[in-house]
Amino acid sequence: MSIFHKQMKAWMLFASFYLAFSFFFLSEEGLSQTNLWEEIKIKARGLSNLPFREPRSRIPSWLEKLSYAQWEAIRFDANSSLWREENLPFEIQFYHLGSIFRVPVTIFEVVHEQERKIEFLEKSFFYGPSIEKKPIERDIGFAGFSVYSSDWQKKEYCMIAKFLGACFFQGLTCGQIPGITARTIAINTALADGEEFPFFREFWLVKPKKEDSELELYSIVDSPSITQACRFIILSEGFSTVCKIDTHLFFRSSPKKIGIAPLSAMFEYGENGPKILSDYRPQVHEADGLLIESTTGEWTWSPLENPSRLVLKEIANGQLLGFGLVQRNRLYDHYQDIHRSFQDMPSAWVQLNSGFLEDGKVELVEVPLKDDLNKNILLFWTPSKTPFAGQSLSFSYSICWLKGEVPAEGKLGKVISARVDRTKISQGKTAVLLSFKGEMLEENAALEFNPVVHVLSGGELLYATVGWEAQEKTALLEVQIQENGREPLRVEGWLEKKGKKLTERWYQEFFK
Amino acid sequence: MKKLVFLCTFSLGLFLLFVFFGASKYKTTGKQAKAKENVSFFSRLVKKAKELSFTPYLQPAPVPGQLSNLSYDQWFGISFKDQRGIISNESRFVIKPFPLGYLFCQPVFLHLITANDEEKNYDFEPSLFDFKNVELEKLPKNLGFSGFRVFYDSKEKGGWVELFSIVGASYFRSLGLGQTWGLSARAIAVNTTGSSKEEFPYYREFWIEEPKKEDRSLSFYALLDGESLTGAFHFLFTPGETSKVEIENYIFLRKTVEKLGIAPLTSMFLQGENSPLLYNPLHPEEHDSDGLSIQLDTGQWIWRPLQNPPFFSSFDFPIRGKLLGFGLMQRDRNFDHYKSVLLHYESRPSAWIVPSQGWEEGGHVELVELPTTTETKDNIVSYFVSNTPALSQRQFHYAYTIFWGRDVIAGSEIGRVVSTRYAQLDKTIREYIVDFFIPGFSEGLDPQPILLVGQGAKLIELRIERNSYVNGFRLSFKIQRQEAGPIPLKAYLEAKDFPLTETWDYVDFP
Repeated sequence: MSIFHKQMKAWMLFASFYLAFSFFFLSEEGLSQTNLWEEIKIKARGLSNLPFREPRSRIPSWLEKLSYAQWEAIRFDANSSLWREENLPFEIQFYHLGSIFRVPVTIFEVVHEQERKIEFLEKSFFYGPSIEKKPIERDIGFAGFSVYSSDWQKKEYCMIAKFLGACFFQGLTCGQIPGITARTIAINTALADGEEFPFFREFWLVKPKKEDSELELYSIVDSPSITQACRFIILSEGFSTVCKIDTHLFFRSSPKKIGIAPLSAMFEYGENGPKILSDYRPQVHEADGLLIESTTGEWTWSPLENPSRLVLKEIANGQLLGFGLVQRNRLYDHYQDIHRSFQDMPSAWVQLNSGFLEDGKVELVEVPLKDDLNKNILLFWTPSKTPFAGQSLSFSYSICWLKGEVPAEGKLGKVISARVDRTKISQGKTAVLLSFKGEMLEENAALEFNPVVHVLSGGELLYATVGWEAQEKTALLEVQIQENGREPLRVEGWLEKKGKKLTERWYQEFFK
Repeated sequence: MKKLVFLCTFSLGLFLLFVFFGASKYKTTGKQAKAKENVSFFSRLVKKAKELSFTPYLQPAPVPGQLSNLSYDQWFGISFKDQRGIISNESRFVIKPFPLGYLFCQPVFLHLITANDEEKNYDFEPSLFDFKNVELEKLPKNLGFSGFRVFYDSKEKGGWVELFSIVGASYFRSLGLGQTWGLSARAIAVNTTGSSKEEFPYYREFWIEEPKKEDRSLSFYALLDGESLTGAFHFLFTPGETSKVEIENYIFLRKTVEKLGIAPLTSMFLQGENSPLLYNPLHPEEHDSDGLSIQLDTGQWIWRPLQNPPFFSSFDFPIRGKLLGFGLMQRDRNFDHYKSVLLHYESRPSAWIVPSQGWEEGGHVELVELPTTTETKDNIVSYFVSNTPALSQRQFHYAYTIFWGRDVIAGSEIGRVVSTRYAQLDKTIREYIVDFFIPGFSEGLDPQPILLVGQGAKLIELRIERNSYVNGFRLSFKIQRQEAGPIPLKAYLEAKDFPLTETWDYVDFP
């Protein structure tokens, strides 16, 4: 406590100096925001110098005992939304503590440099009939919150972001339902010792002005190994919701592995696997592939898999501009689920800004999954050097949550489906049927495309044939491979004409 | 080698003998026809078929081994040289015969009927064909053909297209403009199921009426012969978006036939939305047809989704009242469900049969499904079976039209099954998901599901939900299997005691 006081004093000194110094250069708003960000970074750094304090559950036991379904039956009353009466471009709704959400997070509203703690009010919630409710007499805090953006044409607010549980957050565009989850950081993922789950301790929500198009919010994240200061700037653009993120990591100790800009998704099964007998739905997933944009302008698509054992794939070296998990298949027909609209779930695209050194790499972890409730896919960037205690790292990136394709990929032909036949694996044969679609293919459809397929390891190509289906504007590439069974099969392929790539590069690793 | 040559010469000799005999016989027929001009051609053919049924069945003479040994590709590569086909006058039809060879080794002889009702033989000559790379020793003349194909000048739809073909046993097929070849029909089915051996009667002769310049239809006649029966057939083929084949036939039984299948269709179903496993995982679905549709005069429509069953299976659909129509449908028209640039299942025809004369009330439609592991083998057969036993010396007369195309059933306002899926929840419990499309689907509709679970299973759960994705409803139910063997399932939706949909008529296989 005393150390914290010292820190605070130091900060006060710095802040007053800073204030005085920068007064001449900055407008009042700029000043206050910069100030707040500096304040939060200093606070996070200070916290990293303290021993980690396990968050203690302070919530009433009847709330702890709620089932997930009961917890879902506690609904926030939209009329109690933060800033409801003020016609601002954004509103905030809150999540109740209970069930698996036991760690209270403190939420502040920031108005004109002043922070005000948002009080928990029982009357802001509806409690479902299945809940044996007991009175809550104190401010227990919240489990999280969601951001609603105004859609002036419809005169109603729609959810564009959700911060709930651990250090998880989700973005979406108006009308979508959340799917892929981002985290502020991943620690020791897919390691034998087990993963660490940092959690949001505090949030600061900056009250927007009427004319603002962006919402600014800050957070401090804590865990045994790290503390983290985060700044989120959220912007809704209709077809996408962009979340600009600046983050500073302060290391208490030296974790074996960190994952920056992690994205996680559920992938139970898709078009590229065998038919599932125990489910009538043809496909069940929140994302069906990962996409990489390299600094050379090459785009790579890898279909996701639900493996039979944990699989870690090194997807790309540091020479990259972006990566993401994409829900490319947007047809209800392929999911047939009339309750969970998988076809409408957002894709998430990470654009790297600063802090991502060239010797880092992108890794994909796939974990076996037997249901459609948990997330089994994790994608992140990881540095080559393990951080050490006392070190700090900072990163800047954006996550675009999208309804459609990643805009930067443009006219390039895209793999819209990859079907795999491994029924003849006893003869060492694997066959793949890829469907490509895209403007560049349509523009060049008059002449034949050349298929380029390389078996990078594990076998040799038997044949690759391509056909153009004019009515559907689809190119189908059929590939057959003879496996050698010695190493994992790794294959890449694309379509080109006169040496010019007309499609993204398809890359897949096959495991037994 | 010597032995082989000897055998070939021997069979060739036999063949020549037959051809000579055969040819002279037909010439005689021709003269007779001319003498009786007042009798229509068809009634003379009917008489001829009847007379043939009184004589013992003679196997067709074997064709030269060099033809029967051809592979499909070799045989298909042999082309008819004259681009105008076998008829020299100008019309919208071009008819090109198929040579004998491959599996098609029952010779059929061609005749033309001219505008003034004269009959002309059109004899086989090796020089009519371009044999390409296939090296054959000299073939005899007048060997016969194996069938013919019909090209139609569609004018508005990009010129000449092949829209009808009749080759091999009693098979024929057609399709609508812009479609891809799919299922086939046969003149008759003999003992497809039952304890007797299946027979494949074959066309012995065709008489083609030379089309006139303005004709939109092509008329031809066929004499059918088989171990147990003979038949006289008239075909009237009218091409179009939906092509029509109108058929009138007289069947004469030489012997009692255990099961006589009228208006048979033959199709293929390897895998679909309702299949538990994919034989070819690269393609989500592979089939020429996905269901049997039956229309009764009671207003009831039956929809039986096809299956690739675990074992040979045949089902009877009893007809109460009159059969208004039946056929094998390809309802799924979505390329994405097949993903084949070569096979184009999404554009294969449905075939809808509308009975006209001779169809008595009662009887049943039979559906036969055979297990298969490849899309190259037909495994589905459907036909009508009359209540009248097919006894020796009896004769049958039927007339019907087969519509080939995409939308072959006009004017039905009944709710239709869009898809059938299931999940195996555990060893004995299955969940079925059946989506119904309702024409004029509106918010106010609140239908009741009617479900019938046959013996061997019990219903555990039944649910109906609005499914706006299909403009209709989703029926889902769970059954627990208590016995082995196929279990019949039937379901439809009704509103105000009136059926809103066709009857989904299914079989749950173990």
